[in-house]
Amino acid sequence: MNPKAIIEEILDTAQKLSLEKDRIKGIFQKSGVTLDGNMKVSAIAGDPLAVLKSLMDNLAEMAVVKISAKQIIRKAGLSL
Amino acid sequence: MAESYNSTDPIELAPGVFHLGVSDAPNSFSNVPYVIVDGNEAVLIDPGSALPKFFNVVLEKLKKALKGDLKKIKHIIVQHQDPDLCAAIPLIETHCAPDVTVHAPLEAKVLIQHYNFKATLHPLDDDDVLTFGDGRKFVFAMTPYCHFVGSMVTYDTKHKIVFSSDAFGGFTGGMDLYAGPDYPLQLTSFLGQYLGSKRALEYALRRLEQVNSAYGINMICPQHGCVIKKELIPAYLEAAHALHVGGEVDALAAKHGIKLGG
Repeated sequence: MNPKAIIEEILDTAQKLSLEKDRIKGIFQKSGVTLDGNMKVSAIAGDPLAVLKSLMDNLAEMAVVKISAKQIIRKAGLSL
Repeated sequence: MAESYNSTDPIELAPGVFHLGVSDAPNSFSNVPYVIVDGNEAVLIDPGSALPKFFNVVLEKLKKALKGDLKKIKHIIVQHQDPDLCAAIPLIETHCAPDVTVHAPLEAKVLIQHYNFKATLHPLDDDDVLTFGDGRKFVFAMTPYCHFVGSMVTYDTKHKIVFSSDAFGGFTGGMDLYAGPDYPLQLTSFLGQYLGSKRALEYALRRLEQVNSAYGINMICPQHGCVIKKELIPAYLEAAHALHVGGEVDALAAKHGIKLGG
């Protein structure tokens, strides 16, 4: 699974764990991931792996989503 | 029956069995105490947090469920030692019967005493039975290391309900009462990270399957997340069997170049 696909899975999971779409959107955008009106990834600014690392840092404010994101990253065989 | 809960009203899941759940939406988390009334007595399971914003919700729901008579509560059951279910004990005991007893797994007892409550703390072992009210029986099944050595689930023999504590809990940002389409992911996100031992999980699942085969389970009521109805129980048991747990250890071992056997 490539970093973009991992970012997309984390986004999908985040929306199943939290109803706070604006908060999710803010964290992804702060990390360099632009979301469209349907809460799908429309653009990633720069190297997707670096963006994924930044996303993991920023997800600290949504601990449960970060916990799930760690599992997704592990499942993908990636180590950050 | 309501399909979602709110911050003011208890929900009667079965006659005399009330859901007192409180949502911590910003953290995608919820705590769900239950109170069970039988005759002139009541049992409170996993009373919850001491934080006023959560405790006050539970207290108000409890007053409604018991029609103001909290002295009916003769027993408080805590299924392991964590603060999200035990911290409210000192606050709630002042409202309960003067001789209220707290029941907890033996191995959790030494930790639970530190919540500093006055009630007698009674240690439980596997297959112990609590009889209350008009002869209602709760059977306790130990689920060691799932996720603490002193963890257990409670089986209500009258309504065939399993109060499952963290087992079958999930991360939820909403207030859905029953497990819906997103609950498998919510459950696996929670259990996948909070359980460390596949062996311990398998024991707990097989024990529940034994109970289901022998006596039947109509409902699983976890301490976090959503209630699982009878028709979905086999699917959730299967999903739990497939869980990969303890991954955090593998990740850190890989990071630090530590090779682990087994």
